[in-house]
Amino acid sequence: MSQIIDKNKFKLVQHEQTILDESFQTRAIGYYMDAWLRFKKNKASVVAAVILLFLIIMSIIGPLFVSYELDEINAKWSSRLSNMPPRNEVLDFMPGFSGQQEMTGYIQNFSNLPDGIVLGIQNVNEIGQVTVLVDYYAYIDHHFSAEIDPVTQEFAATSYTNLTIDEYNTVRAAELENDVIIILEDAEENAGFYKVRIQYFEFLKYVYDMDDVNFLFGSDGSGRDLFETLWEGARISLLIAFTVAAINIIVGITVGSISGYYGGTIDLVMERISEILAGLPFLAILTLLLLRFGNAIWVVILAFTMTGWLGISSLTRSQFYRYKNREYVLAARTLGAGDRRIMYRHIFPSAMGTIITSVVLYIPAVIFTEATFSFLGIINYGETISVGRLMSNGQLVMKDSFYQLLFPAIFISLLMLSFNLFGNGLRDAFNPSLRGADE
Amino acid sequence: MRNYVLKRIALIFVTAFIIIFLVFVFIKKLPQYHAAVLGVYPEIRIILEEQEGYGKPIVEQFFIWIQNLVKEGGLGRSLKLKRDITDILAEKIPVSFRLNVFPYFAGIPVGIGLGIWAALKKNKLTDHIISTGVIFFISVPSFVIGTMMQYYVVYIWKLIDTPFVFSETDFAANNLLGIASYLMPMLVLFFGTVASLTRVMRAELTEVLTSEFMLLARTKGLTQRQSTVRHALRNGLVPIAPSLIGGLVSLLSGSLIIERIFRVPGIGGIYLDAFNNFDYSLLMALIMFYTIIGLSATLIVDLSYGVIDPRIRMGAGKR
Repeated sequence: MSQIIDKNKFKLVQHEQTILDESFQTRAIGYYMDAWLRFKKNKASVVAAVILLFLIIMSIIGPLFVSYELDEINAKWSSRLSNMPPRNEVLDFMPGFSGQQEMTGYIQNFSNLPDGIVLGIQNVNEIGQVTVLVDYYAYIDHHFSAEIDPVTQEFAATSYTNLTIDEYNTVRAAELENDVIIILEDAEENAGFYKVRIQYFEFLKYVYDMDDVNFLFGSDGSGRDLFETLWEGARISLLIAFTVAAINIIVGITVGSISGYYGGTIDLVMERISEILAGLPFLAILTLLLLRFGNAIWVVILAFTMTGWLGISSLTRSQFYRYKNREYVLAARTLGAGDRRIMYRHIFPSAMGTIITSVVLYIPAVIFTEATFSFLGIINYGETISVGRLMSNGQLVMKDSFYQLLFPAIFISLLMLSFNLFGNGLRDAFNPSLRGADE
Repeated sequence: MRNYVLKRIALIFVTAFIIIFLVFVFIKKLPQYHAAVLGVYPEIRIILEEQEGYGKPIVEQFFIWIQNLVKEGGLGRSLKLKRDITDILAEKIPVSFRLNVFPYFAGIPVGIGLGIWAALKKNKLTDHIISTGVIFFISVPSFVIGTMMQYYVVYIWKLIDTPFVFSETDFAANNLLGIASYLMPMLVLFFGTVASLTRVMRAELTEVLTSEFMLLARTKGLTQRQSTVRHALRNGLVPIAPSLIGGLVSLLSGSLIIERIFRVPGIGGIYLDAFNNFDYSLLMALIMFYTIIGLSATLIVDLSYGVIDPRIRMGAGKR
């Protein structure tokens, strides 16, 4: 027999309390967080990412560090500063940045130079020519102001400068204003020109406000500052790479997901079109489009996007084939989700990892190809000199001006290396098959 | 199998035909097309134009072009080089092929060997050294490696006199130095082959080595060496061997960049000349050449998959 307990003795434990799901005690680790955690472990990739970021930022702001504008203002004066070796006052202790250059010629050519220009004799060759190390900046200054011809023992033709009347007046005004001597040897006006000898670097300083003539990465054959040119070239390479990658990823994913999801006739037609496009050599596409539409950035981008999306499209397509018949997709469809919702909210996130994996290495591939075809001279932007073209210019003068080849070479190698290392790290981080494998 | 092969070959022909037709129309429609013909003597020009079917509808011109190709093996005449295009190709293809073939065959054993070594010593010092080398040679463009090599070998170490390969007359005069001048471009190509092959070989082999049948092989008493050579290596080579066979076809097309840097008188240099000089008939022939090379390389890769691993039928229907 059971005893009846009075109802009033019972008390509801959580009577006036709503019970909600408790939040996690630990922090939730989502897919991207997980990838980030694994990416962080890969030290080489992190370093590569930092270098990459630096290179990208420099390509945006790098040209701003250079105040040298003579090549844009007046080519008459900047052409005198052609092929100047790298020099920087801070980095002077490093042999590459001292502004010194080897010159080869007969001894008479150097014997008239004042002290401090010739820094040492390197060697003498079999026909009696000497190779000397000169302070090239001082040499150029001397060359255009007071060089003495070894044969006539008079001032050489290069020491004289033809100033127009306007230029002459400007120079005279600058002399008065700053109380300096620029014109060493005056002359009468002749047919609109004054043939005078000027102190060239003083002239640049007081007339063009160039306090110091220094090129960090040297200057090229027409007196352009290579530091500035390099970053401007980098800017265009990166701009093209990112634009092309963005277009190809969007087009590839859209086309791939549609033909993968719907299959059937759409898929068949897309496959045949892809097959034909894939058979077209990229070289042919690029050259034909350039011949048809001329050298412009959009033509290059068009050439890259004509067939570039094919790989991403077929990858996305196969991922959609893989997931579209899964039970969770069926469940979503049963619940009334539309095609678009299923594609982008249900299937696409599953395919994301595989797609990211292949896409991250696509950007450096575009940079590589662009640089290669610029080097070959097929891609040519006219005014802006891309890194590939800088290198092919540098190859022509590498014997005497190695730095013109070296700096772009270092840049493109560093960019490619860090991009690939970064891409590899990202790929490993997003690759779920590596999950748990501690390496 | 036979039906599959025949079907693939037929498909290649259709694809090639469509591509070549599209390119043909595109080139004929270029605005400068006629201007390029102007520099030629009027009499010769009339003959050439008749041969090409100038002024007729483009489709008809295309069939005339195909007819010339099939009947006489003629690809027309290069107006800038003033030579028959078939002759130019016959002269230039062997040059490119010769340059490419040695680094390719030298690179295969080295690349596979390094790949195996790195995979077996995974995460040890050997692997790190090899992998660093691989990522270096894959990332740094060949024009950087090529030009740097030129500078150091020729101007700093002064090992050889010229950064460029010898012309035929120079080569005949001094065979030994001539061969030496070809070493640099071959070395650059060799590095490229080795690096990419090492990378795939290492990746494939590490994947195979962790699979379950390898564990079984070891458990049933095979030594590490036996199991690696007989089981892992065979399976690891399945995806690599077809691409190596396909690569043989690509040897014909040469490398634009290497030929440009070292001034090799091969097919790549001809393409650049044709592009820069608006030599359209030559450009047409070269694009056709590259298209056919590319398509047949893909075909051979797909077919050899089936030969090497009979379970695989690339591009076959779903069954």
